[in-house]
Amino acid sequence: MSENNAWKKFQSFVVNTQVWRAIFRTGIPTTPRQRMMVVLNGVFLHLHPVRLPKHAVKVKYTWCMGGLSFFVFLVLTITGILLMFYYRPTVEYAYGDIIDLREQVPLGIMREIHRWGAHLMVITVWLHMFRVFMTGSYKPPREFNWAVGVILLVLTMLMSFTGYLLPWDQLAIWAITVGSNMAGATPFVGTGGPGSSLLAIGDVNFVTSTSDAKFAMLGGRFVGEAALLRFYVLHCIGLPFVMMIFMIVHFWRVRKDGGISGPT
Amino acid sequence: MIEAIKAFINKFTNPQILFPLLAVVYVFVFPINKFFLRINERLGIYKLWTNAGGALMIGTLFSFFCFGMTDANFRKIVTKPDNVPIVGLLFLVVFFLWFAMKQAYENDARIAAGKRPNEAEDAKEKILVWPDLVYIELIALILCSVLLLVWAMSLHAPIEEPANPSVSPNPSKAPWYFLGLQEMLVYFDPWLAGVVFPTVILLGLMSIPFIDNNTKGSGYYTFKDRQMAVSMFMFLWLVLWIFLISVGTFLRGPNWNFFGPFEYWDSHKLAALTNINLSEYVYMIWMKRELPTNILLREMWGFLVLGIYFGLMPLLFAKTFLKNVFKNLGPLRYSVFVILLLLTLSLPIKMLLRWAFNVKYIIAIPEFFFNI
Amino acid sequence: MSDKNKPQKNKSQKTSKIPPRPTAPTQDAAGGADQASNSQNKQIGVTPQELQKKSAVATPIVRAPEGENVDRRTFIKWAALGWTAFAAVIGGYGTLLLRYLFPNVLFEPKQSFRAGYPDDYTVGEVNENFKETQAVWIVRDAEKIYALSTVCTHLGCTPNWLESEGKYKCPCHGSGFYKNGINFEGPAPRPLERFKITQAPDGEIIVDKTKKFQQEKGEWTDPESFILV
Repeated sequence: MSENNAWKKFQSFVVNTQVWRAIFRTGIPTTPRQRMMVVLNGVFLHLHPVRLPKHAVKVKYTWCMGGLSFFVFLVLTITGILLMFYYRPTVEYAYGDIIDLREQVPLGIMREIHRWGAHLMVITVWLHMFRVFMTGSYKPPREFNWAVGVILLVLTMLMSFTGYLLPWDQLAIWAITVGSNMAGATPFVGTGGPGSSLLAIGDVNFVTSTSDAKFAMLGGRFVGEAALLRFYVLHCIGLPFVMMIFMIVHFWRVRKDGGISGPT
Repeated sequence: MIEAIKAFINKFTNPQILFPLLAVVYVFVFPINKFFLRINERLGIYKLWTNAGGALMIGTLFSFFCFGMTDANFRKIVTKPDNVPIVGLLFLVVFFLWFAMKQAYENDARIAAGKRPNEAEDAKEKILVWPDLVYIELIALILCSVLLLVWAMSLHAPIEEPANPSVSPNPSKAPWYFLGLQEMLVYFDPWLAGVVFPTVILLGLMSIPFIDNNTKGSGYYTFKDRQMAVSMFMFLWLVLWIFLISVGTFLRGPNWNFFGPFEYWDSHKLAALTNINLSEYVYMIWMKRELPTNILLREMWGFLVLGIYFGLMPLLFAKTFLKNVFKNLGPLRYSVFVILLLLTLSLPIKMLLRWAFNVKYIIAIPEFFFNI
Repeated sequence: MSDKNKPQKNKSQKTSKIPPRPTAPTQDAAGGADQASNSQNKQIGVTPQELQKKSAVATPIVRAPEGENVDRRTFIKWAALGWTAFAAVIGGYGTLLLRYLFPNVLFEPKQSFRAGYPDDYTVGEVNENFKETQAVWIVRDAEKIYALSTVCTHLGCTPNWLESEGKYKCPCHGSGFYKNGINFEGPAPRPLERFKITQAPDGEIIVDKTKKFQQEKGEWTDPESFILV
């Protein structure tokens, strides 16, 4: 009993210090008003509305997949930054650095978390889309947000695809060789695609192996040093940057289109 | 005995048998119109979406994997680090499919009884985000982190030999989530399978909200309120996406040949794959003469076939079994819808043509890389 | 009037143009945030009637003066010019950005190599000596020697030469090619490519990978695509 009292005293002391009050404006959220203020005042919780219809928080309805996709994205960002400390994107070092990440670096599962996290994110994104389809949540007024979601799906897959090359092992270069050759088969702008030979004046071909879509992707005629660097930059900076923008729009529109879908 | 079962499964899982079979099963499990719905109900297939049905599906899948793990060849494929996520995905897809359809059927029963869907009952009550939602999120995050950590600690991320541009591993596969696309590459040229189709898939996905103008079924699980939309989506999602990924992962072996799940991956397995173009069929086999040298003359039959497929079929459909759809959607929406539908169906059609008649290309103009 | 007066006058004009404080909430009210502005209105004591009056007074100021009206033709002209300029600038930057992706100098290995003498190759053999380093098979048949690219025409994997079956088989998607490079099975759309092959004055074979010969274009009859032996 007295112990409990001491704890309470300590608690109220902490909560009333100037430091605590400077950080957490609302105090311990016990009353409904305070609970609303917590969500309204915080920058992160502000992602949510203050109140929701009950069906919207049921796992049975949402499967948590959208939220988990975002969470896994954050995990991937953090582990990715940490991996960048040890990884050098050159043909000479890349493979060895990946091996060292497991053998020489303490806590050698950083790459494992990153790799499996990437797989997990693809799965959660797919299941999120499946849920959204099954509940008809793409219907007006959420048409645009569904399209944004499709773009985010593409970006997720592209992130995965660019990351696939970085270990510079057999798995990597052949998957990217196949993928980049598909780009080379793009109609008109790929050397192996239909119509590319039509874009010529006399004997001068505009679409050659050094000026086609595949080259733009690889920075060379085959998967080599330049491709590794391009994919590295895209994987670490370019695509995450674009993805952030689309995620902001996606979350914003969830709120602006009337919150999570529900029966009307 | 066990060997006999394995041999049977090896035969049976050959996509040339399995794919048509799945397509037939699909029609009855996800009835696209009233007619098939009645058959579905007569046969009692809807019972899949009850607790017992769910247990049956997950149980079958689980016992198949348990049985398979006793086989060395199967174990080798399934435990390959990059294939583990797909095994997980299979279970998750089956589970969530059942979970969604179960709720859909419950809601359908409520609606049929004149009540509102379950979600509407729940939605009457408003709750605070703090703490009710925040707690759920926290628990979900913790469970997800635990899963990821356990996975990361128990299984090494794949790394193979250092890159060697002169030796392609046999078989060499794309990342698993692209294996559906890689499977298409067997039947279509890269410019179609690798560029045009992915673009169409994405644009098609984005256009779903604009094509599906059914106002019912927004914000709750339902099947009967939007039977056609759900059934069609299931074909794309389960048959053309998940199934093809599984084929690419588990059934494609050395030299990209088909192998049963319990079959040894023999890189010298012979498979007759000699393929014939449509033009060769027409001129050399039916007319018994040389191919004409003029490209257009040579390929006019292919153009004719495609012209009928994309030109006449939409009109024909609009008059016959898509009459109601045409009425609901109007000409513009209907055109987009029917073109997407025909493009989708072109994949199974091409697969069947390849398997049944060894057709390689409908139109073959390798001079311009224009092969369809 | 002296120069000193002028700026002063301007100043007073400016200050007089700044609306008096109470008008600020009226703008709010016009914006439509009714609840918030209502409470503010109460604080400053502006009634709805006053509000209406104020906005009624305010509207003529917003309108453009009669003399400055632009006729339709001029407007379209300038708008078209403006948008064209805008599109041109964006397009220009886009083109530059695209060009940026293609460097002027490529640091890739030399594209031609010496491959020994014709006598090094036996008839009917597919020589794999240069497969690893140069991605080329050198094939000698009864009458000629040619250099075959080891890049599959499907998606660029490297096929394997299967001696016993007499074919090149690609492990990626199962394309098969005869010994001479003609495709016969699997998804490959066209035969393997051949490279320019010549003999140096001393008789040594030189393979130049910058020039390709494609069968479907009828280029395999080109005298540079083989050496007669």
